[in-house]
Amino acid sequence: MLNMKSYFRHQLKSYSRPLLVIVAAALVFGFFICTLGMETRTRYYCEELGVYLSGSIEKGPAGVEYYETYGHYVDHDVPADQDPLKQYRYETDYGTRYRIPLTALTKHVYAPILLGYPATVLGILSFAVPIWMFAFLKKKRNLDCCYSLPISRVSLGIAQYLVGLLLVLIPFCAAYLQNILINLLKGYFFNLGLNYLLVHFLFCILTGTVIYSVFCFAFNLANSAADGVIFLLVSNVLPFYLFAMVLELYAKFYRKFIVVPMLYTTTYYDIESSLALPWRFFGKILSEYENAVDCKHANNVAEIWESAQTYIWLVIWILAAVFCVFGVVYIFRTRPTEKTEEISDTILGYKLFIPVCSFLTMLILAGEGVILGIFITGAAALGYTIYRRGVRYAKSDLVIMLILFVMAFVLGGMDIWRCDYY
Amino acid sequence: MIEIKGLSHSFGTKQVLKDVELTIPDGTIMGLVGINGAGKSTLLRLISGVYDSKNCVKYDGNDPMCEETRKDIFFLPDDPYYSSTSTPNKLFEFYAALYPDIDKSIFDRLIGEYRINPKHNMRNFSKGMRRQVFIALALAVKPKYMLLDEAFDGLDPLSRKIFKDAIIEFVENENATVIISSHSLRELEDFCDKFALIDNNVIKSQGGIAEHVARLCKFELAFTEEISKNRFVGLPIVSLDIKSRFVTIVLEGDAEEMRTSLEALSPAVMDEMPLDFEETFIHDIISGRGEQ
Repeated sequence: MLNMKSYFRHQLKSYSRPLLVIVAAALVFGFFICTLGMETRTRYYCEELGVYLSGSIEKGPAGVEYYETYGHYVDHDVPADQDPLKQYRYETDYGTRYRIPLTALTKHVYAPILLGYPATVLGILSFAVPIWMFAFLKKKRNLDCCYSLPISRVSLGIAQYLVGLLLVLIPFCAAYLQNILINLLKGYFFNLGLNYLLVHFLFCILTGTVIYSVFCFAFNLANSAADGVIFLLVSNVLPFYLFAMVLELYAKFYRKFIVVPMLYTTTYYDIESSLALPWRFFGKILSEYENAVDCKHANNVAEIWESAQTYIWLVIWILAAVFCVFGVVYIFRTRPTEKTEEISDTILGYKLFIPVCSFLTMLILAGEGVILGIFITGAAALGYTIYRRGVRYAKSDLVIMLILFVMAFVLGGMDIWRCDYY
Repeated sequence: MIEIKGLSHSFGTKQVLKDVELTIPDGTIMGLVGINGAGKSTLLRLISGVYDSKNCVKYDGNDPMCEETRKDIFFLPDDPYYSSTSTPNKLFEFYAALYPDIDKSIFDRLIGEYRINPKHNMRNFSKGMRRQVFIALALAVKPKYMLLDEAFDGLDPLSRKIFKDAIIEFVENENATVIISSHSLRELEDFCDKFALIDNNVIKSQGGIAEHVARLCKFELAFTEEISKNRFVGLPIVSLDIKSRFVTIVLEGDAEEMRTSLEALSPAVMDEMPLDFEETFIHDIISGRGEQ
């Protein structure tokens, strides 16, 4: 443990210069984005209702500008004489409308980039830093030195993980603070208050940590750096793919849902399978807060998220991250050094996702033709070629490819499998 | 003391080491020798804890897989790791983080003797210079057990002398144990007490170098006429080379006894030639292949 602290401190010191470079790059780039490319939005805040309004600016008699908005801010059962905005209210064939003079509203100008840019920094680093931190441990020559040092492999792995986490979060924090400062100096206003920004900031930290942990695990599953990068790229889409495929199968063969095409949901109650994608989940967290900027009072954090799914997925992702951190520890504790630079035969790697993805895709595309099935078989063969680093397939690989080839004809060629979605 | 009992290791289906048994007392400088691919580096990795020896290797009863045990071990592989921004000073700081008792004065002295600038990037060093930096580090750490793989590789003759002198001084002062693998058997012969020869996955022979060399003797003989192999039947021949009237013969046994036996063949001229460790090694390997 003592050696882990020493090693951690040393690594932090040795990465301090690259960290400064990253922070400087993030700040310089952020400066140009925020000052030159900043898109602003204008929102009007109604004190009586305590919300930002959605609508449009119209010109009335004598050139007075007013805000034309809709009646869904007030409970439909509230009688007109108890409406806090009754002086602006009028009825149309399409429902209640409000015509509020701009002078009765508070105008707020803000820049959404405040949320987008630091999040982009966080996202890019959470992908790149695991490679940076762990790639050197994917070479046998390096392990001769590292694993003979008086530090346990688990401590080494944890120290690298923690150093990487700081390399991800510190530039994000710098970019976040920079954006707030620039927005304030430019007079752009969020009406968010410190508590909102603090909550948003902490949620970004949490999300960044979660995604970084998942990517660390994905990279370390592999025995070589090249396989690690492939696993990292696949982890961006695989959870979503598996989840979406299972939903598609359910829709296809049981027809209980309104059909869920792969890339988007159709109703509020459909499970948002796309949130299994790290980036989609990350964006969802941010968009929920952008919704808060648009529509909600900043201090009422509990109302910010309307979608229960966001909470469910947040819990799923936190659990996934915890699993991944323990996974990294397990890998460092148990993986033999001799496996380094060998083919990555972990059960959670090629061995799992080539057959599972191939079979699921074959089932989804049942009834859509033999050609597609053969194409999937070819894709599986390509996957195995990358896995085995050549065409010296194992017997199990050949068996799976043969099964897929047969399935292509059995499933692809018969109309009984076709599901009429529309 | 390092004790190795029943150590076997394979890479997949390929057996590299089989039932290795070795005991290395404290204060020993042991040379690990063998042909290319014999398993010397693998054995060193098993001894140092890079590979899991499955409790077959013990340091005073302790497992090298344990972090505490490795505080007393320094393993210098044949191609050591350093980052692209490493300088000798930075490398020293890295090792100092993990070996708190590291001695800066020893490191500085050796770096000075090797005439290396400690602030220059090691990426621009030659192979030999990098090896010198790591040797300086190894000696500065002052480990109880030092494991060196191909230690002389890339070193010029002066650097080798500095290195050997430093190792001998280190072992004498610290009662440390050094295991060094090298193909430069002439260098090992100079300063190793003991050796272990790995051949065909096993420790084929081990013990004191001087005693091992002394068990063989080499003679060059000249006869007045051509001579055949049959004349030498019955002698404990290790190798026999006949070129017309001239014979070079290596025999296993006491030199004086062998001399008496050869004199019985009435050579015109007979000289005993010195044998070195390298020749002994070659004869051991060749005779091993002959037995197979």
